[in-house]
Amino acid sequence: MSVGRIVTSVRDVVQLRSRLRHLKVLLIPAPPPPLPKNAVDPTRLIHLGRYRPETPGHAEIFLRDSLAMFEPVGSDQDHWDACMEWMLRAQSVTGSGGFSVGYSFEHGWLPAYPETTGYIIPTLWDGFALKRDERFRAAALSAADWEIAIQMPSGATRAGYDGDPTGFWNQGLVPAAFNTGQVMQGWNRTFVETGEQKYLEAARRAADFLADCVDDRGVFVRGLSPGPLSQTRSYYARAAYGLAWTGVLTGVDRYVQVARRHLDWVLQQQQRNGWVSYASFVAQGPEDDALTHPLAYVAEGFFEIGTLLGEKRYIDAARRTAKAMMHVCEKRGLFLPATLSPRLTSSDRYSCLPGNAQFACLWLRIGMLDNSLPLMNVGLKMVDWLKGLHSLASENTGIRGGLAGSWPIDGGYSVFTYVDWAAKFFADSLLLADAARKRLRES
Amino acid sequence: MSRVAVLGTYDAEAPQLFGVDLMQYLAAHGHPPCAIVFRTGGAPRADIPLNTVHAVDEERSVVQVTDFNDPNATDALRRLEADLFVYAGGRDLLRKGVLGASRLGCLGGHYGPLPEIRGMGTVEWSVLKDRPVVVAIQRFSSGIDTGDIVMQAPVSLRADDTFTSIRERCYFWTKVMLALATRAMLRESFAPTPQRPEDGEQYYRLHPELLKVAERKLANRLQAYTRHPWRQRQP
Repeated sequence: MSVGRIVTSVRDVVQLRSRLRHLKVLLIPAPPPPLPKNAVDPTRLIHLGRYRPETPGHAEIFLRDSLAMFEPVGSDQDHWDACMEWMLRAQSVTGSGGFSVGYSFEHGWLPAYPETTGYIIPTLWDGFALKRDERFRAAALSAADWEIAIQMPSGATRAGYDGDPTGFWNQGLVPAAFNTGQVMQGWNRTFVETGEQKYLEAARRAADFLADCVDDRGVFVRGLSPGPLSQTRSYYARAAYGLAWTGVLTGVDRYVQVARRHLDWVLQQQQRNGWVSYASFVAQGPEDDALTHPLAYVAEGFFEIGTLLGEKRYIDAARRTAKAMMHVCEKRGLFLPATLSPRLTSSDRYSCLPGNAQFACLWLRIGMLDNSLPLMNVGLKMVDWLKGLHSLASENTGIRGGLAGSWPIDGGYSVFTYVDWAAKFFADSLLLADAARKRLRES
Repeated sequence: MSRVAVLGTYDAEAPQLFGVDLMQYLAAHGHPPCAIVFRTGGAPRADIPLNTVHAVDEERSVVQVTDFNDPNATDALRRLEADLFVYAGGRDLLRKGVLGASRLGCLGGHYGPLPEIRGMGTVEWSVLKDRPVVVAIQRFSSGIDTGDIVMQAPVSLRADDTFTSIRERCYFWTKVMLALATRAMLRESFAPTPQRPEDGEQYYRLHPELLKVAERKLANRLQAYTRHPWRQRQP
């Protein structure tokens, strides 16, 4: 072999190897360099741009949650004051008396939401009873009046809300049984506080609609809100509470009987371990996972109606779910996963914060009722944990005093949004925590 | 000679591990450990290979692990051919693989009356629930403090006790009782009592507000000791 051929062969091999290397770089990308310590997972940054990270507070909250950091914790009173101020802002931004759905990192303050405005009203009256602050009374009255103004001719409250920038609620005016039941609670409480008949009349019209939504088995078959995907819903137990309460206030026994019929059906959906079928917005079957927020609605329905009617079996059912969730949360080092299987297992790495706040309320209420130290213990711990996610100092008024839908904020529920129902239940839980602390100090 | 292996968290060098108080108590009760399976409180020791039976002398060996439940660690535990494991740590949840790696299972201590009070903060919860402070020795099951009860004994209190001092006393008695229970188990002189899960409650870490209540209740309970006539005779 000549020297020339040898040189050519060597050159060909070198060229081939070079081309192969080039091809490899093109086809098989190199692994990314290792992340520095405490860096945010880059896959979580992909969608952040949509949520206006340049707006003060947005990136700060995202980073806080991504790095599992917490806010400085103040007294129950400090957090309650900030929470109530946030809710008053959420009302004033709509200019209607209704409460904004919440503050979205993507869209800013959202439109008024009839459903949650209804059940925020009792929280405002609690605030007025505590502080004698006229702003809370005025807010409760304007919210209750707004609900009357938008009440449908059938007596129902509508599903969703107008002007949803996400397009999720685009069905127009559709009557919604669940929402009706929540708004009735606002009217009932306003009637109790003021004695004004117009609120009870509104509740009675709503009750006529609601009672017709339940079939002979006790299942809500009409007035199913078109938003949730599930067609069978046990969390309407909380709507049944509005119905039962109106029945007690008006003396119309039919309302109470229908509420009881529904609750008896929900009892059949509860397992011995406290888990409840169809406590979900998406469940297609009885074994599909429950979400803590509607699961707490079920337990609240049991507890409120049980207390209202003096029915021990309903209170027992609420206690069963509350205790089950205590163990779920405590065994995970005070982490309450958002969704749970019928065996109370979960692979979730995020919490649904309204659900957490609701269970804090249930733990504290049932704990004080039973004088159960373990329930008060977990309730107080959860309230303290939520305080760590509750900014008292953010310069962003959509964030300061509010509570997000998920922890971390990019979790799977009401993503990147501070929702009014989280603030409502958190405010309730703070008052209960204050009462529980007093109880413990006096014990 | 029965083979007893101790599982725990230790940072000392291998030969010194056999001089730790628990090992001495076991030896004094006729069952010196043939092996110590340990993990350190921090980084693994460089002088002992991981998940390997490492001989200290002809009769004794050590096994270093990073996690008792690691399958490689479990294999090493099986190779010890132990009759009984004695768990001297406090925070590991031992899984079935570990519990089944010795002939008679694994003994461990618990600071609370079983089956009533399981879980965490059990000294404080015992006081809150008006139950005696107890050290219980159980044969672990995969549930939390639901294993067979081997023996239990109340722990004496003193007028100047705090939860910290009570825990220290519980810790000492746990080691003594583990030695007694080991002897009893290996002599098969009595059968452990099974628990039913529904017979007790699981308790968890206390919120500071509950801890204050527990401290008040402990102070009340200790009043009785302050007034005890024997106390007057003490120097």
